[in-house]
Amino acid sequence: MEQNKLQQDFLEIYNELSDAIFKHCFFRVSNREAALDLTQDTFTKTWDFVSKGNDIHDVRAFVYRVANNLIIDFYRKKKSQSLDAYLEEVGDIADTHNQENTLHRAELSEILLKVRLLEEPYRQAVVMRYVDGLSPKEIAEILKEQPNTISVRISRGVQQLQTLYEK
Amino acid sequence: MKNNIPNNIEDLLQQAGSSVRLSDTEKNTQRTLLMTHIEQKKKQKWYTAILHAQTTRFVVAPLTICLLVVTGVSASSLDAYPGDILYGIKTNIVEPVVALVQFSDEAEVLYEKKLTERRLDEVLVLAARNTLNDVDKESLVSEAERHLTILSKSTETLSPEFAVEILSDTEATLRAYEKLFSRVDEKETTDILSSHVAILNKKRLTNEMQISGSYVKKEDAEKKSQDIKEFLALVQGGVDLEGQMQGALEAQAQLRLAEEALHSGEENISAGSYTQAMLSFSRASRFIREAQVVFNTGVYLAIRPQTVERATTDSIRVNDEAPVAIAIAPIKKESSELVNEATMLSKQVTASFAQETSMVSVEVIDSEDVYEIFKTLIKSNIGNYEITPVSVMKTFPGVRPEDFNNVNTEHGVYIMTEIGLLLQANGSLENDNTEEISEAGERQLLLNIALRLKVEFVTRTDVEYIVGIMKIKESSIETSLE
Repeated sequence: MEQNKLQQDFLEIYNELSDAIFKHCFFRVSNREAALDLTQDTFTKTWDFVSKGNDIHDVRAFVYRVANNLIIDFYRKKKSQSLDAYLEEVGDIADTHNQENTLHRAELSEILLKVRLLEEPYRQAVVMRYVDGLSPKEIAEILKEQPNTISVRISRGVQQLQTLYEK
Repeated sequence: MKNNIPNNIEDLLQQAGSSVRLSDTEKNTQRTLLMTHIEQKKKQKWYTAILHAQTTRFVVAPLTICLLVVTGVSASSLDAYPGDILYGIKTNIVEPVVALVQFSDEAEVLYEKKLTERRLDEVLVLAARNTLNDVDKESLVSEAERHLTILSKSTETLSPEFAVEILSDTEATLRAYEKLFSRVDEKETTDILSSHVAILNKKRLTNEMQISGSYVKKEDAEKKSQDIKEFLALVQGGVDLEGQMQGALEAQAQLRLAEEALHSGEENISAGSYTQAMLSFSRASRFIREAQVVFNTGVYLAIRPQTVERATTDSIRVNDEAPVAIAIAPIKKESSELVNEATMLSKQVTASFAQETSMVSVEVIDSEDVYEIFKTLIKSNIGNYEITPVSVMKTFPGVRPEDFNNVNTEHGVYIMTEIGLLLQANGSLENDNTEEISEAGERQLLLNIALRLKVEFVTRTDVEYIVGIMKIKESSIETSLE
């Protein structure tokens, strides 16, 4: 029974956070297929952790941290293995199920490309702030950094984006 | 490229974020995969418990084992091979218990057939991994023979019609394995299989003689015809009919024979010879089954062990749209690394199959430096011009802008976007397709085109074929590849 409840709670976590995590991964890696895999892996690893009886104090922060670690591994693999050279850098960049259609596809392509050109950790900070909608304090908690550090990264990230648009 | 500087980048990012989300289908798929993962983890706990119980000499309650079987056998155990930790569980617990729950003679015979295939699969996998030793080989082959002997004997208690079906199917399967074992140079095992094929063949013919005089209804023959057509379509759908890999060629040949046998059966029906029709359909079924086993269980990575030291590669990939087809490039690696990689990929391919006995064998093919050949062919066509997207697409009408996605130049990389092919260099994006591509870029270009065309390039002939396709205008290419 306890296991069933755990399972139920976990699926609720998935329902609540899957879109946010997917969006985050998508903007970090600029590839839909890779983002889907990273999202799946994030929740798989989260389940592996909780099913062993480990407690999580802040679920959202934990899931973001797992996703972030997987993204870092993804970057490392991309750099070191020529085997992955065939992966498309920019995948299917517009959500085909976008009901609101708030952004024209060309504009979306352009902002995605610009974000892609941002260096880390500015890219991470900008994505978490404006795409994920997290406050600097929340970002700091997730990344275990100081809020001031996060604020500076956000500001520099936005400045870099401005510069990229001006070029 | 004109850069419209947005008034408020923050708003733009927020809007971009709200434009991206998982589709309902993607969510459902992910939930399903998560549930499967959760269930798998639960089952692994059962196996761990039993293994622990065995080692500490607890008696495992029969009810526990039955529950294990009823809830389904874990793929992780079935995936185990001699030397793996779960192999003992697979052969000493799972298989005997599953055997106990075969409640009819027919079910028992089918299960013996399954176990035969499993033992043969295990030999093939170990041979492909280069970890097959004489002791394991003898043990596995002798087990396979034991199951075959039981199967063969058990058919004597079955109805001739069912006996023909099971013997026919087993004969076809063994013929396929004969081909596979000869490909990994396992002559001794090939000979053993040949002798069993002969025995099964004789028994099948005997049973066919028995039923040849029996009455067959027209509707039964017509239904059999329909079943065979569906089986043929199913296997044809899975076999790469355009592929040139060895497994594909053999499977194609078998399927052609199957079509002839099917046609012959239909002619028999028209002539009122329904019993003959059934025998023709049985023959067709054997050819289809052989094609299926040869292709699904056969060579995907095309790596022959004896040439592995000279093999070269840059990329290996599973083509997800046609799971049995893999596009490969020539390989440059240490042999052990290559075999490990091949083994890893073979597991990925195996996991994507519904059949639990599916696996892959591994062969290394001698390869030429196909990238040099590609470059030479390109240069010989474009003349004195540099190799750029503009010059290539002008010379080769079959090349698309997206073929240059991820293709490096000396100072940057081409990226395919919604607004066209752009050059990313020095931190900016330019609408410039005239920068010469680098050597790495040439390799990527060949890889991109090969993946798009779903062809592999291992030899000069393969590259010449690809360059030939590149010369053909777009609409003609799509027609010829259908």
